[in-house]
Amino acid sequence: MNPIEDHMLIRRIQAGDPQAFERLVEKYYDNIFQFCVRRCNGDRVLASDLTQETFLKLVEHIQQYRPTGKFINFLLTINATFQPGIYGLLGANGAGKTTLMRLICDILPPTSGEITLDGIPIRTLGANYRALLGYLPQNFGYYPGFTATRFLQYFATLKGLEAGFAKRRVQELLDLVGLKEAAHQKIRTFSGGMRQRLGIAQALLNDPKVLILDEPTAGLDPKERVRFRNLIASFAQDKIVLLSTHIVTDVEYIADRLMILKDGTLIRRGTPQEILAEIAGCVWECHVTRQEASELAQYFPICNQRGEGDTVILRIVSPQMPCPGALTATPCLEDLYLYHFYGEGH
Amino acid sequence: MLRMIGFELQKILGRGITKGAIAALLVSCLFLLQAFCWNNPYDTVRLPDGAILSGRDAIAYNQSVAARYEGDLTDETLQQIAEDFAREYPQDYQQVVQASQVSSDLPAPYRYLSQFVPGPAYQQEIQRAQEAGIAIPSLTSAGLIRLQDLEISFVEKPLQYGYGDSWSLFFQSFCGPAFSAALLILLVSVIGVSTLLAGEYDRGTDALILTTKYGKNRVILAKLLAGILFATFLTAGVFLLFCAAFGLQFGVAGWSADMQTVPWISLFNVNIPLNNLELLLLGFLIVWVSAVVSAVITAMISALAKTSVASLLIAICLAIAPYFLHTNGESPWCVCWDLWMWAWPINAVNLQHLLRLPIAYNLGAYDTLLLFGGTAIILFLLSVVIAYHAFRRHRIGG
Repeated sequence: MNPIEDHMLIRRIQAGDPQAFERLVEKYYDNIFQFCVRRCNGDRVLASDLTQETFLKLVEHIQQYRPTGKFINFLLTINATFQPGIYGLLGANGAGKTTLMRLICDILPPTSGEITLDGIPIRTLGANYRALLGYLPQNFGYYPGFTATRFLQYFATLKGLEAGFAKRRVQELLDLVGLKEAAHQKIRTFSGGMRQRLGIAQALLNDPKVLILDEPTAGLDPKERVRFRNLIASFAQDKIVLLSTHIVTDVEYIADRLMILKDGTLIRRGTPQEILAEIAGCVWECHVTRQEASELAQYFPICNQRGEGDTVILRIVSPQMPCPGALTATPCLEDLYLYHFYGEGH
Repeated sequence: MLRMIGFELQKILGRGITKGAIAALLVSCLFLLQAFCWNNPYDTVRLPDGAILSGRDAIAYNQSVAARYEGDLTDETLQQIAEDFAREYPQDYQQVVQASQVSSDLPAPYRYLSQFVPGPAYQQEIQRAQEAGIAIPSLTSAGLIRLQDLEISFVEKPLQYGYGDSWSLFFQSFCGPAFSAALLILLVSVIGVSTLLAGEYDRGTDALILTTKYGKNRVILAKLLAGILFATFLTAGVFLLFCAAFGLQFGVAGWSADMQTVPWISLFNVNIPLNNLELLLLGFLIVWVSAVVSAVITAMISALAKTSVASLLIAICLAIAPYFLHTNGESPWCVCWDLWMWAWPINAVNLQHLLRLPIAYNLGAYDTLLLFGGTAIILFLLSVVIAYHAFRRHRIGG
């Protein structure tokens, strides 16, 4: 990697040179993804301008040094474009998903390098950049003594919404996330799912152009997860949504593009179909005895196992045929996750 | 901004420990009022015929006796008081002259007179002084120590005398040398503000706040202003409570009398022209500034400490440390250090000592007040700047 050459390529891309873009893509095909937020009309990004492309640019050598001593060369020479839509960020624990999101939200500074929005560092943009953001962190905090309405009104104030508009917006969102009846209850009385919905409502208060959701469906039951997916899908029509999760079904139905992080590096990106195509022929179904099932489990990642009488049907992820008589199966995102992260924690 | 401040105040007041601290403050204030206002040492008075008055009747009688001598306090006034004292309470007067013993159930002006009556050892002191060749000023024709010999200030422009018991009690209970309301106000301010910023780290709301439009600027100022308002409401609330209690019990008689004439607070040689009302207002000002500075320092610690418990413990230790950090040495460095320690909030709220320090250290009358003001400004500005930047640059999970 030549940082100077990459820098020159990025500058040429900014100037509109398609050949430079092709050269960069060719060079870093496996590692590049594009975030672009195009800034129009001076310093403010207007909602009406976010039609085709919005980009957030992560420039060169963004690194985050972990206090444990492990130096992670986190993202290398990124020039990325997000089309409005939903991006699923998949990765095992410690892959760097939350760190990436914190870097984008400017609540964690890079050890070196910078993140820019249309060429301007987000730290320089400051409040103008944060005005575009909606963020739901993992295990987000709340004020137990506040009611749901009060909590949202507080954050509406912090997000700069005017009092009258904030009042209407709070009611709208409480209705949208199904908390209208609980609007005047204290948050300490809420279940985990209700709190999560409140967190989602808070993230949507300022109608953000960039919505960052870190494990948003943690603690939600299946019915609430379905409601959440529908909510995000309807919201993301002209927005960028970056959604990190371990629950692959959350993104399987709604994500337009996927990004897979492993050990701080982006190893795959693309549409779900493109990424799944890469593991075509690596997913097998085997009908075996219980004894054979126990033996196979020691050597291969088992995606699913179900019993039918004396026979066990295994779904195995492996580049090679795991046992005689195994049939290939159509891969799904769970298979993909296991394919890349089976070794994590073993 | 006003809405933000409102929310931050709600967060401060919503915490159980703050509510508990305020409740404890109120209970303690009631105890102080019980001791100094409703059940004070001067709530009984003995009439010349031996009858005992108590409560409001005693207060009214004391005030009526003090009213006889209202106005310029001169040696002649003291002579008049002594003559009336000797005529109405001859045995008590003899006790004062011969044994320096003052009964607490005497009317206020006669108790005040006792500091002008030379003690039984006075003659021996004169003899020793004469032997040493030191001139001792003579007594007045009434046999009393002259005002100028007690180093009472403004003797060329006579002090104004008036009823002073209530003002003395108010002063001692609000900002006096011992356990006073001022110390409690400081402590509750520290407790209330300790989680102002650390509470966000503890609850995990820091990430939400720092990613909002105003999360790295206005909200921090709103929090600091909320802390200052909290300290202000506490100080004003307690002061008004005391004003109401003492006002209903004693009225406002003697408000214009000079503080140098108030008994039992030992300010007679403080060279600052303040009447009783002005002294109390100065006390309120000192306590308010001390509470605000304590609140802002606590906010700074809250921003740095990262957890509420650590924030509270460090803030309390820092608040009370100057109380113990006196060297009592005589070298210039020790003297400067001691003076500076007295300028810190925990010590400055002992207004009696703050006003008397210039006499002990041969300083100008206003020097310790100026030192307090300068220290308060520096601590305030430093704490605000540090708190602002510490929260703004807080790293989530970094």
